[in-house]
Amino acid sequence: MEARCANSSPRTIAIAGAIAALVWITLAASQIERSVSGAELGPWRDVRLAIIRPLANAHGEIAATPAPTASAPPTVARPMVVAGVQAAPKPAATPAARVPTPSDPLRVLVIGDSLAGDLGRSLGRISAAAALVSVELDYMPASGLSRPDYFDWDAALASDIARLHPEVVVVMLGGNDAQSFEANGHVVQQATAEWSAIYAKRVADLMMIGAANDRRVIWIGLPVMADPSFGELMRRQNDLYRGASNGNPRVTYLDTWALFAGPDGRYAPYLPDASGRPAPMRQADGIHLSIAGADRLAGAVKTELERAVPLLSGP
Amino acid sequence: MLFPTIEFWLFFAIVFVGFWALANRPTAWKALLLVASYVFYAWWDVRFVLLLAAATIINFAGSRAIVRSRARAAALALGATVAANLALLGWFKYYGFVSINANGAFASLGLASPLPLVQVTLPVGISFFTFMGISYVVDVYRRVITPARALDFAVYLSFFPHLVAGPIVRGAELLPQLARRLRDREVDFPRAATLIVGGLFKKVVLSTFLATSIVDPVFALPGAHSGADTLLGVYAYAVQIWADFSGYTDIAIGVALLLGFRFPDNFDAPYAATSLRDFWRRWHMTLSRWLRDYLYIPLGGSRSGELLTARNLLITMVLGGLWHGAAWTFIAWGAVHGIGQVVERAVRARATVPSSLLTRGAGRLVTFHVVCLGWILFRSDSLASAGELVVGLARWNTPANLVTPTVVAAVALALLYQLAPRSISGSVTTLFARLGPVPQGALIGAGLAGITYLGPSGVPPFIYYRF
Repeated sequence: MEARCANSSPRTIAIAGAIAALVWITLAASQIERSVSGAELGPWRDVRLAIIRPLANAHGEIAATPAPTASAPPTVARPMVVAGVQAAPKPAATPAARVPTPSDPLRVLVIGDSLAGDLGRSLGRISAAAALVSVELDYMPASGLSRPDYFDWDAALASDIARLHPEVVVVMLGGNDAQSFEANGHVVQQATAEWSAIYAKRVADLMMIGAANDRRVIWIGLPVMADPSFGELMRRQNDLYRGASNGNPRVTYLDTWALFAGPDGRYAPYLPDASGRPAPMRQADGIHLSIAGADRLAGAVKTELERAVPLLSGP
Repeated sequence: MLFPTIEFWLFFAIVFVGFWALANRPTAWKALLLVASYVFYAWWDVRFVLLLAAATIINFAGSRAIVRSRARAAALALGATVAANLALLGWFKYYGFVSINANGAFASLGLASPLPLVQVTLPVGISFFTFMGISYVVDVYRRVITPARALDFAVYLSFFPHLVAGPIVRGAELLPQLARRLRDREVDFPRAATLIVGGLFKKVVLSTFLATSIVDPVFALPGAHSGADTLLGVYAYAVQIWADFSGYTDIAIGVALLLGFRFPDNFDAPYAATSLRDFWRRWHMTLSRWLRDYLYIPLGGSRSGELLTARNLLITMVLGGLWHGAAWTFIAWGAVHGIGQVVERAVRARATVPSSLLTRGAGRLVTFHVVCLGWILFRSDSLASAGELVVGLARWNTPANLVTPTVVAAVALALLYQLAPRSISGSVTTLFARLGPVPQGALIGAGLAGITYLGPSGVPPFIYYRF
């Protein structure tokens, strides 16, 4: 039965709409403030924060959660931890010193943004066939290291490590990081020396968390991008990842730029797959990986894993 | 610009005020809707505004050519316009799929493919506005409708509430509403409000919760989960895609209502269906009607015997599957529904058991599980992944990690809701209508606050945007 109700005038609807907005902002001020503060820096974010912060303050909500950073990460839609081959978590051991078996496989954790999601799914698939590697995946689309106020990877990785006891951590992120951020009480503009210094420190910190207690970290560089100007930003970030990895012997930097470039060194939407036939490597946005592209990257990561853990490839 | 964002509602507030301020000036409010719709579309990707304009011009010019021509020339004009729509769709949506498969086929014969490999970006909404364009010119040709004025047609094709993911609105449904005079006090606000708040809850809370809790993990690594996780993951996807798409549609219908326009319904408790035929009368109803009127019936429908009817059903459902995406998984999904309906017709023709509570219950159970089998193909990355997931359904010797009371309750309640009498939601709307604007606004605001607290801060795009 469809309700046949008294119709309303636009003026009445406008009144109801304005009251709805007011009630919503008042009741959900702290949640809206967290959501807005994670948005891209700029005048639009400033305007929204200027409106919402006093309301959240009035309720004492901001005082309860002083900054939406490490201590108060926002509630986010995260396809949390995908289990690969089921393995009982055990305390970390030096991965190179033991022989992984189907009943006690090498525990690999893949973290990062949506590119890590593409990689983790493929690595899980190809590893399940060999049964010597257990892959766990924790990825958060649109995340990175520029905006810990949106998503804090230091805290998330520490939590994952405590829960899953990985022996190798594979990190792939950075596609969302070419943006300005707030640090030291001011806005740090992207593509400045200050930005690079702070960002490199964040990379090194995450590497240190990953590599503590004899764990290995494989840091995946960003692949060549369809948009050359965006690709140039990613290439500069790759330099920072490579530089940070040089300072930590338990971290390996895996360069993927050439892996997804054509013979001319530029972006290639199609490349030969394992059978030698052309296959689509990237999604239509020119950034994300197709299934074949993710398989290509997972193959390279598997080779790196075998190098890091020699006994993985057999006696 | 997604519906569940502050940006969209600020945009809509401006459009709403401007639209009703211009209510006595038809050309002005139509121009406002046209500009607003193009701004809305440009928000996704400004390059494709030209594509939308091109589709508008092609279909408008085609409809004019049809009415100005005699029978044979009119048919040619119709054919050319439909072909132009299909060419747009074919290039943007299917070229990559066709070229890579052609490449593989030619390579296996030791030959070079004549189709170069080119990566084409899929413009959002193209599947919807090309189908609306086709239905419009066919209806003009069939004299179901008379050709609209240029501005009316441009608004019809681009009207932002339906632009990117439907419902697929026919010319006969929307064009008369664009041609009429707007009268004050004609907005069914209680229905619009309940649709919008309910749609936001389905999308922001239910769909996102199920996606992140169980659906994404299960479908990401289909061979790695227990049978219980996998089974619940499939059921949860059935609920997720319903909540996501019907939630979007509810918001679209509600937004259009606030501007005084009525869209056709798109969902009617699909998991209460007692047969696949019944399912397609309840799921994405505007697409089902489109496929029926512009494909199945022109093919011959069910008028030419069992064998030809089966052929027509299979062609319709496989092409309907392909409409959803250029992949073998969607073709297989369509084939499951096509074969299912062929079998269903054969069984029904020979059945001697009278309809009863038991047969209807059994029908619901079987239909739901065939639909779920289809969803496995629909959601999987590849046919191989779908196969792995089906195998995983039998893996009951490993512990379930993703089955939680909250997920089970969410899936069960969403399915039971489909069996609830429609009078319940009607009663909610009626009660809401008895309130004044202040308590109405307060209730809506409280509902939105609840959704904001229950939902995540980052909401993924609607599933059907990609089609």
